[in-house]
Amino acid sequence: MGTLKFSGEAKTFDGGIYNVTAGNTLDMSTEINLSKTMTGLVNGNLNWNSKILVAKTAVFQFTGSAGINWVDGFLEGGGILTNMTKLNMITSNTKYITTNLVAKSHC
Amino acid sequence: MRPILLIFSLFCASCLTINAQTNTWTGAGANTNWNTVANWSLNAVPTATNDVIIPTGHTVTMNVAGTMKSISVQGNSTLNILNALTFTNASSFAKGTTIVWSGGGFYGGGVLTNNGTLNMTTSATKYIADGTIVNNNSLINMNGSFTLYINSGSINNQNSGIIDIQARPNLAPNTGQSHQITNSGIIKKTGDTGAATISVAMINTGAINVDSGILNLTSEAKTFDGGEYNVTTDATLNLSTAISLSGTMTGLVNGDLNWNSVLTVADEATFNFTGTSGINWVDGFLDGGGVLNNISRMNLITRNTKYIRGFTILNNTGLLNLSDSFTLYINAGTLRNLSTGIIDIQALPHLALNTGEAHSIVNAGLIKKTTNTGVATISMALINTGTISV
Repeated sequence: MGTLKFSGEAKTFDGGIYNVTAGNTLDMSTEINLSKTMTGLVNGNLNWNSKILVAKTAVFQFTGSAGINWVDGFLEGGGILTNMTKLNMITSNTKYITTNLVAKSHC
Repeated sequence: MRPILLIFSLFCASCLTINAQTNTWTGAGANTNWNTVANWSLNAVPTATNDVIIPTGHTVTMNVAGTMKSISVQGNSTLNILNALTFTNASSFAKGTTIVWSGGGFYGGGVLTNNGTLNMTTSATKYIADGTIVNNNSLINMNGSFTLYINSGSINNQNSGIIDIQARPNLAPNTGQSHQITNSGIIKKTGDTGAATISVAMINTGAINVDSGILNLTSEAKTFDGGEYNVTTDATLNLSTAISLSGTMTGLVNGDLNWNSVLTVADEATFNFTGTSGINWVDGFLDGGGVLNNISRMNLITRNTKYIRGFTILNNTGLLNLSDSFTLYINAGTLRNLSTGIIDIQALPHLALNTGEAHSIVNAGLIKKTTNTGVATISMALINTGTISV
């Protein structure tokens, strides 16, 4: 319930499950290093607000009605991020891709 | 040469007789007072050279200070201690005896073994000094709200020993070196709903039970080498001083077991409590560079800032409830939420770095944000392979 905010120091998501219920928010407001497959049931706000780094490969494979919101920031790292879910690029904030984003389903 | 040897032998025998002279209570006097000479077999009040024996069937009142080599209270006798009891050699209160310690203290540096019932009564200050050791194999009732100063000496509550704190005493250090309580038996707080305090150093490997009221562990550092900690509903055990932990701490906790100060784990220690409450981390530090395993319930409560430092690791395979809006600084250390671990963020805490190296949260279990609609923040490094749910 409410908001869980990741800020400050960099985080590492080595796979993992990310569930966000309706009306609630998981804010990724700092640099996040991604690898493996991120899954979870997302009916609330899963917000990508900063820099996502993919050095090799990583996959978004969420279920639920909301998907992941790219609100602001960068996709970097030189690897491949594969999106197999719903990725919403929202707000007027400028976004940057300096690596490979592969869309396999919703984008 | 022979006459010289004979004289020397007689002299030595005389010395031995003087040094080991027994003065036995006869109770032949007009009252039960210690200083009534007619009560003693030597028809004299005991001196520092006497081994004192109080045989079964008597009541003796130490109305004055008493000095002796040793004392043995036997059978079903009662000794009322109102003044200083000084002994230098091994002494004992036998099973079946009743000792009423209402004033004065134990002095002289001897070792006293209690196998009877030692009742510490009244609010009068009491003392253990001169390196005197009290070994309790039976029962010590603390019925009065006194201060017991352990200036230099110790109470060793042995495996079979029970210290029943029924009132609000303070077991305190004063001056001198090497003062402590060691407990491998049971220390229990019963009766009075007020607060009793142990401020002298303590080493616990036994059980500490708070059945009623509050037991405060304060001031001098304590050592918990395993041990059992039972706290009943509405009762409180406050860990309000530095405590060195090792081994596994168990116990049934349905009341408040409050960690208010510095817990130091040099090697490895485990919290494995049962009951409805778990341990409350109210304030202070986790330090020492070792590993603290929480396999039960730990509640991080109040807004007081909390710290993990000194490259210490907190391993959680149980439940960590983050129940208030505090800041947890991991200066140098790691919070590891292992695969069966749950971190339930129920309020608006901030999990932050401050100073130091190698600080992180590693999650292979479940971190969930529940209950409160506000914003909780994790600003320190996080490595996640588990589940994060909001």
